[in-house]
Amino acid sequence: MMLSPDVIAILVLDALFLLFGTFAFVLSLGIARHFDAHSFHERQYALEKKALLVATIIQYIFYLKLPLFLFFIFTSDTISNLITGAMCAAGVVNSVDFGLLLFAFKIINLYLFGFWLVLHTLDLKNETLPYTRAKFSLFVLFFFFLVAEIFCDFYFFNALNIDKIVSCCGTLFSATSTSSIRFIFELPHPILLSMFYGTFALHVMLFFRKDALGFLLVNLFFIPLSILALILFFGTYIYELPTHHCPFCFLQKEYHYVGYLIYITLFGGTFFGISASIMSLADQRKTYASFYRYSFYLTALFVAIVSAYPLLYFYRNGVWL
Amino acid sequence: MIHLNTVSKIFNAGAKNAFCALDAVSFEIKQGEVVLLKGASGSGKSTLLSLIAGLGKPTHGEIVVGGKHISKLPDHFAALFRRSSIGFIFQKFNLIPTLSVFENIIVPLIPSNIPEKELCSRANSLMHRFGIAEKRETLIKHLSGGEQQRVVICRALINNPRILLCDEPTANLDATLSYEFVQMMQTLKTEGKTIVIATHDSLFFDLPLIDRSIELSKGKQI
Repeated sequence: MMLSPDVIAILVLDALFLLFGTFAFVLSLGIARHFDAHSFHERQYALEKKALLVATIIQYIFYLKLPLFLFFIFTSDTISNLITGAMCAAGVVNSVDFGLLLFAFKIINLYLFGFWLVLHTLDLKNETLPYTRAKFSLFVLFFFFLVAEIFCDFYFFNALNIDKIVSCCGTLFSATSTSSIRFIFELPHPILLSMFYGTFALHVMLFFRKDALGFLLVNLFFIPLSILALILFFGTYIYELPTHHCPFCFLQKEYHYVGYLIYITLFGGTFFGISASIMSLADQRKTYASFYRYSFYLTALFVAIVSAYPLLYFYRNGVWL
Repeated sequence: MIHLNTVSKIFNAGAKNAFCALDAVSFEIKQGEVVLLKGASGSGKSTLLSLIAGLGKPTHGEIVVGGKHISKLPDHFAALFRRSSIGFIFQKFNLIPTLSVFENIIVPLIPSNIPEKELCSRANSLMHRFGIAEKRETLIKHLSGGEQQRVVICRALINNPRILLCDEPTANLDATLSYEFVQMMQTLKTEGKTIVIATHDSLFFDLPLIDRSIELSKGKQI
């Protein structure tokens, strides 16, 4: 097992998440089964206290997971110096069979826990706590995702082997036969960019119309589409190399850590968009205008940042890549 | 106005040192009534007042205050309700010694974002009414017991509450000041306030001010 101080920090926090998460899971089972906001029975009052405790635990797990995700990427980037062939976090993540699965779990869990917090906030805004049972039932489900991620984390760092030669991101994100995502490179740029900017235009339109269902679908579609656009088009302008498509390398110092800004605006924007939609659909008396606004600003900032690179390149060189 | 149905409160429930402070207490208080809650020290009076004020939650039972199930309200809503409807006079005053009389009086309304002008107007009016206007800028630690009691009453009334809860209000006062307090309560009664006074001070037992008495002994209603 690779035990650098960074890895130990991640594993210690994982262990704490598992400990407190299990405690919250056990209590959530009881709350999900027996909570009745209209009861004046002793058990109900005890459940209300437990609900407060569990909600606090879940909140803190999320607050720590958010920066920990960025720290995981940073650590993977750092480890890439030790693994032969790896140039960035992509090589490290891909050096283990379930590395990409772990990465997917981390992103999915951030969204799930984020939505849980949104539901929790919505619940506390109502005197009768209408979503308490629902939110703790959801946590019971989300807990398994959390456990899966934590075990993947342990196995991931355990399986990392500095003697193993791995493929670099230049090979992994390319049209070569060794790349598992070579099929996406068949998508022509004009079509991809039309879809990307068309979806963003739709996002803007639906933001002004406050169309909850449409906004939900657009945000859900915008996540994979943006990652695709980053790999196929925008990334090449960040690197100023037509053959380099890695969505991880621009997280490095050489590119002024711009990747963190790109992903925070993308994931933040879509998260607030999806949350605004779900909340509006759940409670149609309110519009949740602030969440719509956050989504719009962050998504617009994301589009502005990624669009600036090709435009600046063209301005400086007079040609496209 | 205040309705309690089989309210119990057990501290450290389930533990070896569990203590039953209230046991199935039920009563109703109508709007404008002045009710005396009497009983020896440790009988559960203060616990009961804190539950009525939404400062704590019962272990069992229903508490409705001003139409709200205060025992079921989430903390945030309980605080809002308290701020709008309840005035509380604590046994030990709970004033902030390093703040002035004026600052102590307006403290409960600071979170409600009421304009400063309105706050000043309300506080000045109360200070004049209870005879402490000249002490406006004096620090609490420089006031006598009786003056501190007046500040406490002003603070309890700054939100113009419908319900006033008093926990051993004369415990730290001499006979003259206690009588003064009774007169103040008499004035508030004429204004239609619902007042609950928890005390074991015999001064209150036969006063015409009191409409009804409820007696507690070891957490049980007698």
